[in-house]
Amino acid sequence: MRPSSLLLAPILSLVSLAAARSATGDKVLVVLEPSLKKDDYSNFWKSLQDRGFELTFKEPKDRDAELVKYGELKYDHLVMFAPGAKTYSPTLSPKSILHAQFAGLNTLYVLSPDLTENNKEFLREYDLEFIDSSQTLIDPFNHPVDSSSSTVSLSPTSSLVQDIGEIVSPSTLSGGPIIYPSGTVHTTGDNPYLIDVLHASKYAYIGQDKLLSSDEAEVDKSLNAKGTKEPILNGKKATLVSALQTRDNVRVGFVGSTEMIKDIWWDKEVKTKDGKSIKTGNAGFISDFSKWIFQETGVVKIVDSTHHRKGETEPRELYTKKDDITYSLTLAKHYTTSNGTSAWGLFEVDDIQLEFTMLDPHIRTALKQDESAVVEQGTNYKARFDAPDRHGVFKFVVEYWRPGWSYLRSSQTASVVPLRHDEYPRFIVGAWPYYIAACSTSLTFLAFCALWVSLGEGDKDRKGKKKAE
Amino acid sequence: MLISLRRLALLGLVAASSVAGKGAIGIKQGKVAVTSSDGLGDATYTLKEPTPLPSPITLTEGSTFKLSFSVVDTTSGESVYPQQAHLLFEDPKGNDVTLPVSVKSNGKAQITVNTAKPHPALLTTHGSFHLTLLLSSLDSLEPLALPLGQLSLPPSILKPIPRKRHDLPPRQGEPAFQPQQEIFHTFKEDPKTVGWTLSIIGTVVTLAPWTVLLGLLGKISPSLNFQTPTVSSYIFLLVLGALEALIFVYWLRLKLYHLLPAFLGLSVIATYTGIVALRELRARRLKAGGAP
Repeated sequence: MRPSSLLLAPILSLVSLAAARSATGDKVLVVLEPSLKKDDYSNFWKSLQDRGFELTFKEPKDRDAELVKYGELKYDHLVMFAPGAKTYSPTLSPKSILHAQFAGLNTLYVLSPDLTENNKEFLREYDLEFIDSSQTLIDPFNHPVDSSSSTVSLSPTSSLVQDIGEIVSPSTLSGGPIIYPSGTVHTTGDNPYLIDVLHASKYAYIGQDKLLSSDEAEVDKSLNAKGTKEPILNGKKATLVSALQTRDNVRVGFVGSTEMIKDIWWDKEVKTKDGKSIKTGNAGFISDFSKWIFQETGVVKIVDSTHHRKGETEPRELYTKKDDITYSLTLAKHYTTSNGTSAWGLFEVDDIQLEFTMLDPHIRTALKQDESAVVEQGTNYKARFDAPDRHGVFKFVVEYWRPGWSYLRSSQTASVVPLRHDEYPRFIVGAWPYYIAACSTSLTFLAFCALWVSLGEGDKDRKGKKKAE
Repeated sequence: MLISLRRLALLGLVAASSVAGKGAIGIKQGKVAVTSSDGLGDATYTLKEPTPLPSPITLTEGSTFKLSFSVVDTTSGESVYPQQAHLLFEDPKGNDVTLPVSVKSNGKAQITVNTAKPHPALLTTHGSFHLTLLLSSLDSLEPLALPLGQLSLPPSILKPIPRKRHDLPPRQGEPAFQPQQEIFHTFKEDPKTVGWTLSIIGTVVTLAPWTVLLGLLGKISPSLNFQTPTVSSYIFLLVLGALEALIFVYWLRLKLYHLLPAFLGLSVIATYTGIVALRELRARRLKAGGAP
């Protein structure tokens, strides 16, 4: 059984590549807690399967759910749908998940207020700090009319973070409210690889969904480790959905509410306070976010990078000082064609920079899009500069770190050498006297020889100058 | 036991009010008092929903802003203990702060901003805020978001704004998430060059001795006895000219390893033709009776 499946695997993977929309693969492992019902989220599973993913369902304690086998990843993506699980099998322990993430496993964590302390401890690895387990996000000002205050309705324009690439599509930004029922809240730390995606509104707060009298509130506050004078966690600091993209472009997503993925909110129409009936944006938001986590959107790569001197086309190992160098870079963005296959297309940005570095950047210049260049796939960028006066080993370094796009890094080495003894300018204007002097000398010599051979012995009457020899 | 009874009572109240139509939270006896150490700029305002404060409040050092009110249910007039009593300090530049308002069980609430002992969260901001009072009690009553007006803190107590995640410059060991400042290289000055004028003057000076030569030649040429050179001496002159031409071409574009074989070859030819030419000249000279 095993050897034949090993033989089939490469063929199967080739076949699946043709239908896959993700840039990295389409095998998804879903670890679902026994207390959560799979059918409650059927729309979500269906949307994943429609996008070409193969879902495998396991429970947290299943011992045969292996992430890495024989040194290779068995699955390309993971959905950890088990916030309240207290124990995991050794193959799904936090340590093995981290190990798999280093190897390239994109993960989507779906969390809820039932998050166990161990899980919170593990999530601190990602620089995330979660609130108390008994508390959820409450917003009495923004919730659907027939739901409680803990079913928070978030407006896409004010609660979604802007400028994060393709994590949220324009249709979600202009779509209906995103319902966030009984969800937990976390704060993101200073880690630069973290990306905040969805945050609470300014009027929300964190508390319990039951009425407390003043005495109970006092008792609660005194039991709480924090003082009563702490500022309230809301607005941009109260993150509900966030993501982390590691330096190797492995993506990890954190969604704070299991309820927001449920079928009941997927495409439901909700009544707002002003009586209007509007469709929720949950389906759009979860689809966009999972597309980003599973490397379908926001994936860019460097197709080609080359450099050459003015007048040449091939890259050189040695450039001389003050050479006019052109650096050319081609970038492509991953997208899904209409018939469901992976393709790479244009990627247009205006803030990418080239650094010509020897220990420190000597030159940092903008790479501008070159529309006249003909490239097979992607967009071409060019930068033109003069090689510095310093000689040494330089690198053409292009680094593009932006939240929401995969990180691009490219580095090519070239030396800058001083002019050789025969590369200095010849025939300079001020040296004409010397050139004329040299020519004049040889002309004088030739003239003298010519004169000498054309002179005859004249003095026949000269007396006594006959030499005897 | 008592607590659960109270809770039951509350639930009953909630049920009753939800059946009868939800009440709304409101404030009664709202008052804003600004006091300062030097007495200037002291003011007291009464708050009446929904009008905000008439003018922006600017706090100076040592002054205090105190907001006090009573939380009531506007439909029944009874005092309410709200679940949420927060004062939102909204900064148009984005660093918002929300502080809790302390509420007693009888519904009386107050919050103080004292510039002498300010809340640390207010210091790491730009200092000028739009205030909004947020009062709510989950679903039992309609919540209240009351904009109060503007408040400014004195700039001297403010602290620097903390660094946002992707601000420049990046922290040690971390990459830059924004385009950085462009760097240009200043080249060394080109070495000074000599212009055409000096060059031409130099050329003229170099060629000046020719005039002397030609002048002197002109002087002695009548006394010279010219005779046509022999053929062999023409050839010899040609070879010498070729040698000079070779040296000139080497200077222009050849390399040493191109020059040397050609030079050797031409020198051999020059030697041979020279010997022949000079022999003939000597013969002619002897015939004419000159020195051997």
